[in-house]
Amino acid sequence: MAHPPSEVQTTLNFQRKLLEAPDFDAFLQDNATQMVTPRLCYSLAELCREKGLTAAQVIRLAGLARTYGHQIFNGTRRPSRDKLIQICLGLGLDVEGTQALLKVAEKNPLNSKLLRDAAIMRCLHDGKTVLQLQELLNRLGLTLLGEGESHE
Amino acid sequence: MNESVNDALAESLRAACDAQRYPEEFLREYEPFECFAHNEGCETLLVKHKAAGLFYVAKCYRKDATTARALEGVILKALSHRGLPRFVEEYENEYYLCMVREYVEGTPLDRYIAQRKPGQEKTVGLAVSLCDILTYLHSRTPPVIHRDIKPKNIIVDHQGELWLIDFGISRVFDPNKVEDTVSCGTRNFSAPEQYGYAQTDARADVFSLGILLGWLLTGESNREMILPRIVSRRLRRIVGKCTAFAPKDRYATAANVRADLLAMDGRRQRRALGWSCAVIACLLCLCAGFELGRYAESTGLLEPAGTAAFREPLVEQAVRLTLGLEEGESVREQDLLSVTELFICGDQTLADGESYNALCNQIALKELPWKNGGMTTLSDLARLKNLTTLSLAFQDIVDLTPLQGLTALRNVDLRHNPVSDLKPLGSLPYLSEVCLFGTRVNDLSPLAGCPLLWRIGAGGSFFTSLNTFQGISRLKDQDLFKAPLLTLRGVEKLASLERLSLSEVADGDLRLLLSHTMLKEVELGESLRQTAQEQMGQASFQIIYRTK
Repeated sequence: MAHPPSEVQTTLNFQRKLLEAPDFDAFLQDNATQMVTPRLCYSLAELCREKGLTAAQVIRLAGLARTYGHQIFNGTRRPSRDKLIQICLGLGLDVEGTQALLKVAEKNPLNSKLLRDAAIMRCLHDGKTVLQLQELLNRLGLTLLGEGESHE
Repeated sequence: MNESVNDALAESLRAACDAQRYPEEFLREYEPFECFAHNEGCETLLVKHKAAGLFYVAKCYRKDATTARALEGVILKALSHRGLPRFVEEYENEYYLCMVREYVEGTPLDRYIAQRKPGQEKTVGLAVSLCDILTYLHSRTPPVIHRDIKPKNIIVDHQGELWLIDFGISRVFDPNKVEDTVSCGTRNFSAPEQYGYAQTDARADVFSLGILLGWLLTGESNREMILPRIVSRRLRRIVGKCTAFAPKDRYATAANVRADLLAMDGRRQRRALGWSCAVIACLLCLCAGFELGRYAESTGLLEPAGTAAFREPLVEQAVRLTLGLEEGESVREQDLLSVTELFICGDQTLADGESYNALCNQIALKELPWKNGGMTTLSDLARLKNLTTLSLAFQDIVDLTPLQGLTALRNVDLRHNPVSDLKPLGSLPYLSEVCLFGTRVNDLSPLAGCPLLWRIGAGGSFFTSLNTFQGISRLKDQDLFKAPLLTLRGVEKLASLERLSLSEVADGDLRLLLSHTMLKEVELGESLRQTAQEQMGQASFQIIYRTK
């Protein structure tokens, strides 16, 4: 049986189609599902610049796997809500900044009525690290960040 | 972090959240995860079942809010349909009523449409699916009226299937009432009578269905803007009739809308068919003319060769593959009797069971994209009298009647077809293995008449208990992976069972398996590992854990 095409092949193929497409707008519309919304990676790049951090530094502070993290930053992968929250902690964003970024990524906002979200908000507010948040979640007997992602 | 500070912080957070007053039982079972939406009367939460690690949706209605209508659970509890989320449980205290239901993974229709503009055919398909769901709702006694049909309340799941969610303002039709008391719904999508001048019946949903169809076709949700923009005259007429101001001028039922939508499709196909038939007939006459001219003396020239015609191109392709026919060689009617096995997965036909299973598994594990083959009828198969194995995954088959006379069938695999009625299989004397993964079947009683049936794959389905399997006396191998089992009670009655797969048991009690003497192997979802280790230390059967 034929193997599924590798990521590189698909991308090359896609690129060829993009360059050959007679009507660029129509192409964008037809292929919207295959492209990651660019707004998030623009926002991330902008935030990195503001905070004077490189993507690699943020990824490390966010406690993300390197490849996975870079895929989020260069827009080839949609992060889950939890992963995005980790990035916000890595960037040192406050609650407001995090809510704004969640909105850009079309994720549900943090809601202080929910214990887990409340703990996350508190750590964002206090400028805690990802590890410190995980410790707090653990103490509260809640799902750790990145642990419950089957719904993504 | 300083230990004591952390403790204090945890305590204060917990205290703050306790003040939210959700029912204690509910919080013991579920961890609230995200808030999808909230208004003063109701919060819609994504929650995680703590023991099973699975996600559900909880609608938490505040009891003190005047607008809160907590009927949703009552309504949902009585429903069972492929396109409606399953009711799970309800929790209550003096402040809240929390209704937990199945979580449908997918994209709301508004976002789905923003991402990909469907063509007219796909649009009509979506509308037909919605008609199916509404027909089911309206045919309950008493009828259930959804009253809030709009893109946000429709989810397209990863398989492209439609789900109707949010029964927050739906109601059970009461013929004695003159008008509804609470005006509700979403502007544009709601029927005019929903604003209070008459009681709403099924035709209110027909109105919203019409607006929705119009919105899919034009991107507009205002009736007056929609109609002039619909290009197809027929669709314009259908949308117009759905959305007539007076309910009596609308279609009486969603089933009628469906029929008109499908008739339109059929007419188009017939017209195309008509043309191609005419062209082919002309060509044939020409050829025949030439031939006759050349061999005028020979007889029986125009005798048909007994060529078999097919309604489904995929069946023809699969038949050709098993018969090993060259391209251009026609399938003769008598050849059909030599076909014993067919393997079709999505839009591909395969030569044997091994490659079929491999392909299905790759799709199930998401290594390959899901592709529906689009087969809608099995009528071609009625002529394959010697068929013993039918494997047909990822199609749109609902009706199994054509299989009724195929008495040689042993192995039937219908995974990921919207099948629900198994009666036509009930009289097959040799049926031994059935695969119903991802179908809509929830009643196996028709199969009690198949004496040789020993294996049933019914994972990813709607089975919640083992009771329906009891009529199948020789059942040895049963796969219920990803089926939402509530309990294992009744397992002792499946006396021949040797192998069992499962990944969900709501009551968390696996000990019932220990007393089963025939069991040789039990396959469990990873999430049950801890429960199994606690409860089944000295099991006489082998336990295997499976992740996907």
